[in-house]
Amino acid sequence: MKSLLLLICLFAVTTITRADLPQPDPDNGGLTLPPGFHALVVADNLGPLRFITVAPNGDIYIKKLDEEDVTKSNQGLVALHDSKGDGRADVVQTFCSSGPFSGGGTGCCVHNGYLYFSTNDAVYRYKLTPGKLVPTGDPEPIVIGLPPGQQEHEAKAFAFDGSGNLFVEVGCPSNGSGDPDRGYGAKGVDPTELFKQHGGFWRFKADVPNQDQVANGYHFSTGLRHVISVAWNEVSKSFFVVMNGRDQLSGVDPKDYTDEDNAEIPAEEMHLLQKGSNFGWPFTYWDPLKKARMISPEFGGDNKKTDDSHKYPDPLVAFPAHWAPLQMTFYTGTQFPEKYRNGAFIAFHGSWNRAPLPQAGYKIAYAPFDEKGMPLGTYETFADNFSGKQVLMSPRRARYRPCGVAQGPDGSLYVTDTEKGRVWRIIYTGESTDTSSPPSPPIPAKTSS
Amino acid sequence: MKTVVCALVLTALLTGCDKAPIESSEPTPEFLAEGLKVYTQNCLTCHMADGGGVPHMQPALDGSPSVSGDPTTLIRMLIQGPNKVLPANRPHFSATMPSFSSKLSDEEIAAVLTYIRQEYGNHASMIKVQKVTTIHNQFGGG
Repeated sequence: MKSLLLLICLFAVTTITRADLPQPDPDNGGLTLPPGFHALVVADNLGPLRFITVAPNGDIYIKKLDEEDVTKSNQGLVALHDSKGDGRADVVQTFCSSGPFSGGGTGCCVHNGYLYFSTNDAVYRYKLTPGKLVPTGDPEPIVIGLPPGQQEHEAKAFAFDGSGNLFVEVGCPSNGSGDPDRGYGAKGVDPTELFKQHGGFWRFKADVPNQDQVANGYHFSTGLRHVISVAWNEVSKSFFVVMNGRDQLSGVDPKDYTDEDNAEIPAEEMHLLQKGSNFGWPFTYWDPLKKARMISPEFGGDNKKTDDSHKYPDPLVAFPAHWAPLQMTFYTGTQFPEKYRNGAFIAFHGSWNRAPLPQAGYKIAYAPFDEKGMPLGTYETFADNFSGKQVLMSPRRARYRPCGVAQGPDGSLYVTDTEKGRVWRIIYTGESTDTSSPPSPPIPAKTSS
Repeated sequence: MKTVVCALVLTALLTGCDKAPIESSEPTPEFLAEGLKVYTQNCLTCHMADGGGVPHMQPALDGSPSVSGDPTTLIRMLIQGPNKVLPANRPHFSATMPSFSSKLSDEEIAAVLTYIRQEYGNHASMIKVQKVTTIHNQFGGG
């Protein structure tokens, strides 16, 4: 009887009472969050999930992707609907999972009444009909002719500006433009030819069908390895990106780099994406320890030579090496406290290239922006414990790995997972429970200029 | 005569027509230790200390048919890189393994391949240095 009373008291203390928000899970779906934040599992075991987008009516759309499944049976899109208003998706429908519109991809975004999504060689859109969760018919091709069939960095992320344009990234099928790429003693290969259709952003009209990359796309930026994190900041009216930095410095050049060097170098760089931007790949990388732009070993670097050409910008935020930035979203809601307004939430998938040191990343980070819509240069951990381990040596042992992050119409934050297919909704009530983590101090990642 | 033909056909079916003869020698502890050393210096960063690989990026070595299967194909994967050896429609992993022809000696290739064929729950045969040298001479580097 005493235990029962204790349980009731405990329940009364930890129950979240904000009427307009759903009841969070007692364990926050396994996540640790700053005080006052809570989480609930919206859906689970959906299979590998990529980007997520939430429609104005609260319906959720997610790009599915099983990269190992060459039969493409586990691809396409999944739609989630909460008919009971308890925050849990009780209607789950997969669509577009076979046929020519299902091949790979990552991007997924509701924009102006359409659901846009990317495959590995195109961007399509469906017209959404009020009252209907799943669109019918074939999707309309908006961008075509993107280079498919590359073994790595084939995901096509995209974002919209405020002027009716669609920006699509095409990554480089390469680690460091080396020969042999990723191999010992790799020599740099001139990327000029590669850059004609890779390693940059291309601009298209958001509502014109069948635009070909070469014939119709405007080549907006270059010199990047692969960018999946791209988002439009409404305050500065600018795109910001976080680039996936290179791997295997010590594998290519063990004479000049130790494995420990490789674990901490290079940074995952946040940049302002402007017309003509060139971020310096493959010739350079940003060393977050030396706070300097360095020459890549394939192009004569030795862990000491800095790039003094001043051709490439310093990063606005330097995130730790190999964290693997995926979806990014700017927070424009009012549910979260003021400090989160117009800052960036970034899903870090987590590292693999840090041996012999433990893996790192596997979290949602928050990068604050100022009143002019520019990053302060710092970041902090927002949602953590995806991996479920204090020390993680092998990525396969991670319980979850975050990939998608998007804001819902009420200011809740939604997160997807690539391992089991869990979807979380993170809410702010201001009330704390024992499962919340203390706030992590901001990490001064501001780089030298 | 019939019996001999049947036996030959049966053997071919059981072993796979393109498979090399099974090598039965057992590696010495020193050879396996050399394999672990080579693995730690060259393979661990991608395939991990537990041989588990990285989901979607680098394949796991435990239970891998490529690791425990035909030694010739496995040796060629290290010498030439898997893209030149394996079929294009194989399961997709997003990172590409380079050729190790210029970095590892035939002795080191034999040691590390023997190591991964007998670790991580695998129980395949040893790969001898001579076999690596023969294939190296036949197919060259990456």
